[in-house]
Amino acid sequence: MTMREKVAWISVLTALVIFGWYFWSVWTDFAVRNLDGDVLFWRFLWCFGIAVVIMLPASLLAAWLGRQDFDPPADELETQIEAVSNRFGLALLEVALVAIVLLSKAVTDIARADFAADPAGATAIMLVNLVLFATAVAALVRDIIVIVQYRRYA
Amino acid sequence: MPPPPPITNTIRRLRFDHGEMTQQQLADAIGMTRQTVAAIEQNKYSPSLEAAFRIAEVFGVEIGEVFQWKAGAKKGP
Repeated sequence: MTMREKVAWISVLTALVIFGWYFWSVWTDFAVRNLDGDVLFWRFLWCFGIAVVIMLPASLLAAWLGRQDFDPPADELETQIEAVSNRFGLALLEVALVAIVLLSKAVTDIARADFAADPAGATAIMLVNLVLFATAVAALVRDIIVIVQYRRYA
Repeated sequence: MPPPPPITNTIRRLRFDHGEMTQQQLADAIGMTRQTVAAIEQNKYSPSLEAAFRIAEVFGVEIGEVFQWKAGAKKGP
């Protein structure tokens, strides 16, 4: 297994666990209509930090165990794999961002109806987390496509 | 999955003829990963012209001895 595929596996598993938990927690907060921007901000920062703290040593360990370079230059097949996965990931992100813009009216309506104390703040929190979710999903799909392509050529 | 390219190669035999050169040794010689060399050898991936010349250069043969166009292969659009 190439180092880039190992990194993709580590990234996918870490994202699923850490950001899966983060977005699940945001959803449960939303479900009980208790969105606190300050709490979510620090929760996200903690999740981001934990993800970095997991991914970096895990990648270094994978390189050490496989006696591989940590960040080797990509050869032509790897460059092609990255280009294809980046294209899919970017296309997904573009579609998701447009969908979020179209959803903004519904988000505002929910904020006005269910977060009467601070509808503007609730709107901002929901939109920011929707953008974060779209970005995380696009990155996850990108890494999954990387893995699928490496498996196809294996 | 796209069909395999209509190209065959003799990399496995050439490696055998060169003292059982490993895929990793060939990969190191041409600046690629072992997995890419394996994909080329198994005809799952068509290398660039530059990579094809590099492979031929490692074995000291003409490029036509490494890669062969399949006669009668389906033509593209």
